[in-house]
Amino acid sequence: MEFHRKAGEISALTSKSPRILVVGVGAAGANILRRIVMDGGDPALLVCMDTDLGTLNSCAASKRIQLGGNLTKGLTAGGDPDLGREAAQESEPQIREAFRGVNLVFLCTGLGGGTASGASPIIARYAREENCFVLVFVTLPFHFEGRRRQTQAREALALIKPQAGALLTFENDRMGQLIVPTEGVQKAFAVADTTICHSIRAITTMLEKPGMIRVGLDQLLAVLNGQDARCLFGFGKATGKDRATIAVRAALENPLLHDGDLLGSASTVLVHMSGNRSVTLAEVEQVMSEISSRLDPAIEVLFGVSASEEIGEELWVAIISSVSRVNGVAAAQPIAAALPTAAAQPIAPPQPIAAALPIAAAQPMAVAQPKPIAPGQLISAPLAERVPQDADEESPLVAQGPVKPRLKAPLPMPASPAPVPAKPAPAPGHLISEEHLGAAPLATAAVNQPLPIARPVPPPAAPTPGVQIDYVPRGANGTGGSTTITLDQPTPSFVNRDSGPKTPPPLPPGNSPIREMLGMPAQRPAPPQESATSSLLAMRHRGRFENAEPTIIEGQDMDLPTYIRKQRRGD
Amino acid sequence: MARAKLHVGLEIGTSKVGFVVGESRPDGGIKILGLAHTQSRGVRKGEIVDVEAAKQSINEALLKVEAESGHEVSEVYLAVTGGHVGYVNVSTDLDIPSPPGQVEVVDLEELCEAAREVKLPQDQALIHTIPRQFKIDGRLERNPVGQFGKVLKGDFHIIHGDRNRIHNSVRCVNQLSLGVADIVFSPLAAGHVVLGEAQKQEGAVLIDLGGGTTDYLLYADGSLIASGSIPLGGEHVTNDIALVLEIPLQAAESCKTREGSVYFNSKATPQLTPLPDVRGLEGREIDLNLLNQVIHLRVREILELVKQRLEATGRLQAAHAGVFLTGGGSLLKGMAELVGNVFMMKVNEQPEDVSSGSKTTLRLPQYATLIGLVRYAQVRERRLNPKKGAMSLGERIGGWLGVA
Repeated sequence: MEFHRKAGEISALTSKSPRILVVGVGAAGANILRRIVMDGGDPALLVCMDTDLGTLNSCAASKRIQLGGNLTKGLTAGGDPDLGREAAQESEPQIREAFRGVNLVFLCTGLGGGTASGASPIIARYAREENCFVLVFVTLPFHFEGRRRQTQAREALALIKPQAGALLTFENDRMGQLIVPTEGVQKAFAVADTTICHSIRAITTMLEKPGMIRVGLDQLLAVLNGQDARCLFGFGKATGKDRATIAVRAALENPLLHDGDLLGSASTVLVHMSGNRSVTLAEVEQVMSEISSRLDPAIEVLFGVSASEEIGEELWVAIISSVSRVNGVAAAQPIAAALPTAAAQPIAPPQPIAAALPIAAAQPMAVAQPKPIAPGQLISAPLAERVPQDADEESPLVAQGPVKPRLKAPLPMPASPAPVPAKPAPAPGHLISEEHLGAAPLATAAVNQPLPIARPVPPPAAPTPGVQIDYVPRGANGTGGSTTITLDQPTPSFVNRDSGPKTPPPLPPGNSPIREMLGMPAQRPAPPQESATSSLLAMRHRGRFENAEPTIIEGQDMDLPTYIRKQRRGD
Repeated sequence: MARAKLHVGLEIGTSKVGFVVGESRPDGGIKILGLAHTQSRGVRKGEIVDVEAAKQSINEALLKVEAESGHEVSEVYLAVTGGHVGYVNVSTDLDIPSPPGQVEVVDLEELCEAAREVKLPQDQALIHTIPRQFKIDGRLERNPVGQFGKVLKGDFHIIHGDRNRIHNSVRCVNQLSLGVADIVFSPLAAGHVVLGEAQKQEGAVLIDLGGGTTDYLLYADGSLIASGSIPLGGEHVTNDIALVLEIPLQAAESCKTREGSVYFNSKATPQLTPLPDVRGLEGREIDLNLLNQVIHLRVREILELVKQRLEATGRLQAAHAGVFLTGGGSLLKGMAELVGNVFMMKVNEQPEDVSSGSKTTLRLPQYATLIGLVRYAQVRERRLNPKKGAMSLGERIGGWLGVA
């Protein structure tokens, strides 16, 4: 099986068994490590770094590095990031030593405190300088931990971002809302730890266990590549008869995947299954068809299966991908983007907005209507539904997703190229139900799997004279397509709670007319998402098959008129 | 004389829900006592997506057919289709019990049971196990019963479909207090009407262009080679027209049936014609040439997909009797020529007349599947209760192979 391999630093990392290190920084980091060990992870891979000797002593990791022994004398950094930073700098030799010869570093930490916030960016930098690919998992503090910790966490996040190959943010606050308030605080903290732990274990299993279809570090890196990529991760495991279906659904419903919808904007998706020798071809097929039914055929799917006897009868499915942030501001100013204020700035270039205004305005309006209901469901909503929205809200990392996961179809609806009068927004029938997204018919699936072959994205066609086609992708050539306006979700708890650093800044004057036209004074347009595939997806207009299960044959969405597809291909 | 057996067929199609009540006559013919249909709701691409809406339209059709036939329906033969339906050809062996060393009907049944054991993916349920051919010690036997030999080998065509989707259809029918006697893959039912034994022997392709799906069968040398369903059909044609011409679906449907044709001339100049009576769009004109081009491209694409799938079996060229068209889509103007062009084969449009009754509409291709359900029921009934009718051994085996 041939995989695309990206050039550059990755080529240096293609050694057969990549060396992986999981680093926990601070007390929260140590907690994550403990959970990994409890879940059956290998302690040999783990390194705990903290200033506090107490934490280090109780840590499950096989290797422990005390930060700033002279500086803090084995005590905590006392919530002072400067102290944490200096401690890390003091221990630079030991830290660098730990990273030597390692290819992949998982850096887990809970920002907000002194050690984690101060030392993590430094540690990440050292790791990177030692030629490691650094995958950072951070949790952000609970609201009740106070504004100071929140601020510290955000500042630290901004510092870590440039150092990280990929960054996954988990907000304790949002995760906490998933838990019934009366449940133990222990559990609230455990949610993020567990998710992080799953992510790490899935990736390490994928890389370490011999695979029937091997996924190498280079492939993983190719998927996660990009300085400023937003990482998507989904993981599910199940046993029993329908384990394939259950596991893949769980993976797709993972918080970080937004119910699988964000995969639509990815360019490459890595799917990895592990299980013992009992994994059947039918199961593999089931998983792949389930996943590919939710993907644009243009998306490249890398795929691996590995045998891991110690996980027993379980079948694990991990879906990893990243969405690159092509749009200018976020890429150019990573630090600014990391601040909550910057995340709120709409980045749509002015010209296309003007052209697209009527339609762009009409669409999100219709979509936005059901949103205010969402907060009411906060507590009762299942984990998979809630978290992504929250993450979207505040975390700079995940600030760019389509707004409402389930509203896939209508949301990214683009403007028509010709000045067609605004069409009525699609009716409420647009909510795509789980079943529609889910099961792919076997027969379709057989022709449907775009396994390792990257399918070329069909070029946009010029509109035929006299025929108005409002499916022609304006953004497909990479220029003026970023006019899709998505709206952030104003979760009440967010709006009310904290007026400090999180309050959205006044919008740039150029954008306020749009908001007026949208009739949504209280809402902020989020930065538009821009990639060739997402714009193509956005162009879909399938008439009466809009919310039907798609029929994809040989990479084509057969529900689109043949006429239009032929036009696009230029036949 | 005992009352003639009544059979009821139900097809929950994408565009219409139809019921048929037919009487199985002792001479092997069937008499259609009632046939009714209503516009279908809640069905997309041959599959029920909205159970409540579907139930309602089924119930409407049920009331109609009961009134028309004067027969209270309690049990139906249900046609199923959809892109989830697939097939697998398997063969099984059986040692013929040594004395007498002669094949008996029970041996065939045992062989068939063995074929049913085929391992399907977990989510798939078996719909049909159709004997294709039998061999005794390697020699092909059309009629193995009574023959002597050591090893009996049977080839079977197994049709399977997504368990949940099939259950959904059955449950939907059950909720209306109707029993389901059997489920039948739609084109097989249509095949009972459209294809005679002679055509199956000669080799034939059946294409049923339905509203939501295009179903197909391929017979060669009297045995079923391939069967399947592509979830594309007349609705897609209508939808294409609506999207490209930017007219409502309803207008698109009437354009398709009244004005449309699969002929199109790429060099022709636009040919404007008023849009057929659609309220609110008076005076709007459409380009006939564009309309035909849209229809042509879609239909051609569907046919090419069918051809591609049938070619993959390597036996398409063995269909000497040509292509048999049925289903509402076959009524499009110019279909026969287009199918001929795509398949490079003879095209037959007229179904064989196997039924009699009060209506001339029974020969319409839209009803092939419905009528076929009754025919299927009749053949199945005869196989299960061979003693009731005075059937020769040959007929019984014919029945065996006939429940295709």
